[in-house]
Amino acid sequence: MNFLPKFSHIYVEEELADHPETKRILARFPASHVIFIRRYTDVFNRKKQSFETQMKSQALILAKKHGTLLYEGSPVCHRFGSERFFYTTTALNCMFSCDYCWLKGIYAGAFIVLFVNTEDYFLACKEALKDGPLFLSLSYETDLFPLEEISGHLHRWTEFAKGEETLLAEVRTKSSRTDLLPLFAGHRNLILSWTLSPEEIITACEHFTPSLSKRIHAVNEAIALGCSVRLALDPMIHVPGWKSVYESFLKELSASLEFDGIRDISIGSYRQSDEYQKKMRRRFPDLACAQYPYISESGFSRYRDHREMTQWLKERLRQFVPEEKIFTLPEDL
Amino acid sequence: MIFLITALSFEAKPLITHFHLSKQEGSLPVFSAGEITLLVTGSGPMNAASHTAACLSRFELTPSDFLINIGICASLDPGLETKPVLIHKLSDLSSDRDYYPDLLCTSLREEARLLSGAKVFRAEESDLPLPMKDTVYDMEGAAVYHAGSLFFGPHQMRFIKLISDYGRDFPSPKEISALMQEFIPMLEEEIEAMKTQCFALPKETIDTEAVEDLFLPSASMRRQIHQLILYCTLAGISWQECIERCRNEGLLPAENREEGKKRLEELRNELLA
Repeated sequence: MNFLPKFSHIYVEEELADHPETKRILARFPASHVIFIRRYTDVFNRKKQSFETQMKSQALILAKKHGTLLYEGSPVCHRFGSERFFYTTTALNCMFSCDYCWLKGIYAGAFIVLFVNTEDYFLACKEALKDGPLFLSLSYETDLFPLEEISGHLHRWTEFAKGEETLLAEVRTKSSRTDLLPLFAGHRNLILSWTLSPEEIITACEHFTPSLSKRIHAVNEAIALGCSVRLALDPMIHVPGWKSVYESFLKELSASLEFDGIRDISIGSYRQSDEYQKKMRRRFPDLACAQYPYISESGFSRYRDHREMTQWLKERLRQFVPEEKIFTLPEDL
Repeated sequence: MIFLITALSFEAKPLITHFHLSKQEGSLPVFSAGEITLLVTGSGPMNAASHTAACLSRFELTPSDFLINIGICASLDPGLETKPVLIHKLSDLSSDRDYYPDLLCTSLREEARLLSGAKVFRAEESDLPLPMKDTVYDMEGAAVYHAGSLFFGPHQMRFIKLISDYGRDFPSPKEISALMQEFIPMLEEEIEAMKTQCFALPKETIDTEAVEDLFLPSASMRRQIHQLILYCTLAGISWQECIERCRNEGLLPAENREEGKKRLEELRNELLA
């Protein structure tokens, strides 16, 4: 017997029953069962959920985000020289499923939560901008590209950001969709950031994601359209023979990627807070990424040779891009 | 193990016959054969919760195990026909708590919310805002979920209710048994659906103790060796060859803990290169 298709069940917070976004989204799924709930956490935070099983038939949860809407960025994330780095969570969880993804350690379940009250996020953002320029990551706990048909978040956020010159907004993705690229074209305060990994790692660990060649095609399209494009060769994954795997990867990038059009590149090896790493190990006993014998440094699980890995990659990248365009994390120096 | 949970003996009767279940010894009304265990809780939430918890606590449960609560219910929606409904939300009227079982794989199409109360639902005495669309009523569902959640995740519990009345003209025991009998083919499909939903590979444990001993390890070193070997096994790195070579070269077993530490470091460097 097969699993039900994605979003065969949609949970909706009672207070959002009449919200126009709820109505728009539900109209897209006439065959889905709609279940009204009080708070999204009643479903999302249930105990003993099976993340792995839920990935086979993800449900959608439509919710309203209360309380804090912008969070200070984590110290293990790239700030790109920005004084004020914040992130926002307009959606929780992802339609892609990467073995190393930190969401597997953070969240109790795999259902996707969409916060529909984007108007409140914009107000919070405007408020924060009063204190000065802001670097804001919009897809910190999701990939917004594959969700766009349902959420419409990219359309609304890019529209908002275009009117806020002191806001530098970044959307990070593994998608190969090119139809959404015009939303970002010609706007220097909108950064499109692609996570690129060696094909071997994509096949083994980045489930449901497009191949490397498809992502490269999308990157080149974005550059041609005049988008501000960032590459994230991050996280590097320590697979057996990682040097030769990443050597071939760089060869493919150098052969097919328009490096001249890249704004900058961030690099970093896998890291995860020790607390979430523990949860990942418990929840995913058969995942090599979860079971790697990491070392703990300042509360984060890392590879023993994380400095060597990132320095090795940086050295090689310098053949294609000037050093000032390559961002590493302070702990990798 | 598949746990079928019903409240009433005449709900259970056709299942006992169909699955050739026999009564187990002990104070609980438990019937079993092969992978199926049937529990008859008795009527009402107290019976449902206490019997469910008592029964499940007797077993060494695995991730592939699950429970299905089946039984009759009243419909609060005149539009709902007398056929099985899959429950996507259970509301306990006494505690005002809601429960949500995962519905990831099923053959049933009709779904409803279940209100669980402590008394039999009688339409003429009810203070519920009737009619309630896509809603049914029973006395046990929420209690079974609550007790079951001590043992199972939401993907391991399923609730299927057979509409037997609308709060009046209650069915006779014979009619209830007939409803259950008619439902058995669908129940069998749902058992298959739950087997898919709860499929889990048997957990393979790697016994690394003998290898650990070669290093004269401390407790912390033991954990490190275990984790290293576990990772190598999952990543397809042949750690056994390294250990064998160290043995052949007389590097292992270590003569003391200091040497064991050194050997572990060397092993790590080699395997994680």
